[in-house]
Amino acid sequence: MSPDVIPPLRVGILGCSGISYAHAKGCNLSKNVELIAACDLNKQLLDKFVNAHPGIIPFTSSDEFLKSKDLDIVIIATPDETHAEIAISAAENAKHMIIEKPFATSLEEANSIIAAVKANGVKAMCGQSMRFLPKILKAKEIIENGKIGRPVFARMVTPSSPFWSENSWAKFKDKRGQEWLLVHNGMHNFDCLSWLFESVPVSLYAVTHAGQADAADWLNVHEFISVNMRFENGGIAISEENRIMQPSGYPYHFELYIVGTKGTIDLSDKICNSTSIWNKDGIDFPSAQVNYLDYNHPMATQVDVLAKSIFNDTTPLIPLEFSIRIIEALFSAVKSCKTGQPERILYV
Amino acid sequence: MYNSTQKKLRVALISFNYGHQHGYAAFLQRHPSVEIVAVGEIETASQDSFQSAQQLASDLNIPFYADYRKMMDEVSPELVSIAVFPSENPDVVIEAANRGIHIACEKPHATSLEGMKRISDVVKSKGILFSLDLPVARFTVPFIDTVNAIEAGKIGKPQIAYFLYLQPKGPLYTISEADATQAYKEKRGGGELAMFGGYGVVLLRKIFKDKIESVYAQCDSFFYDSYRNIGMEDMAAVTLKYTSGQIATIITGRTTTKSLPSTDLRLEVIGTEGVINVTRGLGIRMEVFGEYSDSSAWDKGGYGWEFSDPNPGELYINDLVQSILSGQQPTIGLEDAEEFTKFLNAAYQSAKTGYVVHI
Repeated sequence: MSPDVIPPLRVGILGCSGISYAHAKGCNLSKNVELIAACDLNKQLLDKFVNAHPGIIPFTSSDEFLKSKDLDIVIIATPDETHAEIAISAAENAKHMIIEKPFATSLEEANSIIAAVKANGVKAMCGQSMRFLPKILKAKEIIENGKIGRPVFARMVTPSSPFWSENSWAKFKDKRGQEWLLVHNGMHNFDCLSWLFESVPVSLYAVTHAGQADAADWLNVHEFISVNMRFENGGIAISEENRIMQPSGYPYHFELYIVGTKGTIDLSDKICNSTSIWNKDGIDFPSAQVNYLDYNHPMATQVDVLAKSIFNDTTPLIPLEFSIRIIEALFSAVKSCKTGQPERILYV
Repeated sequence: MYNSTQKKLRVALISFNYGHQHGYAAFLQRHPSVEIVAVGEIETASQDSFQSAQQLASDLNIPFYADYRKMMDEVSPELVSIAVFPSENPDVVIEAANRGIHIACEKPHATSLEGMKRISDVVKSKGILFSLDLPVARFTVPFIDTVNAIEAGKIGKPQIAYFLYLQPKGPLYTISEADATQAYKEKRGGGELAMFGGYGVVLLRKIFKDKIESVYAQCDSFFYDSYRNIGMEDMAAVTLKYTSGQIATIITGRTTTKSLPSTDLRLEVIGTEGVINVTRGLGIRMEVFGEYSDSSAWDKGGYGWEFSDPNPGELYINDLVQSILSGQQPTIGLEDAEEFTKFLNAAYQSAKTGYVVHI
């Protein structure tokens, strides 16, 4: 263990909407970290979060939050477009960090974050919590034990009903492109598939279906995107982003199907059968959309992974240098959606 | 409805290059409106096929003809079930069609667009009925239920579909090292996409009621050296777009997974008002394995398939016989065959070039 770090490490969460509750639960379950602060510019969201987590320090200024000497780790759970500026500032203030996916919205942003992290000697990791779902960890273990041979084909999908309403989406309409679902959520699938294949996509072809966006002028996002991709090691995968399931209320879940040279893994599970509320405003997960047992909560596993890399002064399990390749693959998929043609990924 | 005084439909079988012909012979034999009148072969038949044809003729006490043309001339069947290699289909189909004989044909019905056109022209000009042998696509109970539910409007308009057909337990049923030659690949019309892809294409044609607009395919030989050596795929992943914007994925292959009880056959259809999921669509099938563990066991009877009723193959045969007796088009007809051959041609072109191919 590095001499200047003593567990538990003190964590602050920046951004207090939906996913921050799952991060908070992960922190509370971890023996390596302690949640001590939260920050949001929206006082209402901050108050609600603080009330749910008594004793933590509230911040309404991100500058003050990032400069706080009390924090070792910050979890950046703000809108995608804000990640780069916050992450660079966090690094300059010597904070280790987990940045929600996608950790940047352009390669320039991603490279700037990586440079700041390196320059300031901090540990940073993209929040790829799906990788830490117990059953996906199990699938990885099965593959590593050679039980299905070399993975050659996989399909990973996370279907659900549309979860946006006019109230919840209209404000983002001008900031987010039609492929937002692919960039925002697709990073989970691309990351998991690359991890399971131990390779990265080198070519892909993406197709889209507008779904209800065809009929709703307030919605500009494709509700279904399917990506047919080839990995550097030859494997083939289908990744689907799907918010087109009907009727409303069709539960969010994931399916993972992997064919290896010696066997098949067929994994299908609902990951949010805890309380979910579907109404005219969209969907809300008051139970933090997880139903894992406490000992294997993916957010706890994720923050522990970062904490251990800090203790041991090692590279985090998911280095940003890996995640930037996933982002580059995603951007190629976005381009394929727009051009209607396959794309080769050059990893410049 | 069968009438016992009605004249029976005279059916002949041509070649046994594909094992399903044995099953069809059994279904035809027990059909009350059918009489199997002869078995014929083609000049290029393998020794195995030739022997199977002779054996069946002997078992049924009907004539065997080494020349299928002579058979058609002498016994005048009204329907022929053709199980030659796909590359041989156009010539055989044309011979039958020119004699005014209805046709049941192994898939794909042609290995080129030119062969497809030759068949289309003769079938249309002679006014005969043509059926493509793809029972799984339309006569498997879960898919019958699926099509009925969609046509009843239960999920609204279908928009997205996913079809998976992976036959497990390789190397059982795979192409042996001895058979795996370029010539064999060309006769067969491709690998496992040619073998199984039609099930998805024909089913999706019925579900979407639309045509394929473009195809992007990835094919590879992941499992078997015999396939790899001749560049024939044992796995394929295809993305399809339809003319009205619907999207589909078709996955086919022949894996080595030993413990799956039967072919992994799945379908998901997402409509504007609901979703249909079919998993293990062939779950009603039982596979019986004996002491043999290689594909040569086929002829030794070491293992085989048993379906609980109703058997898709038998439903297919019954549908075909009924369509001929009633003068109606069969459920899987010439347009289905054309759609599959166009798809296959586009998919292989896409896999070779890496581009999207528009049909």
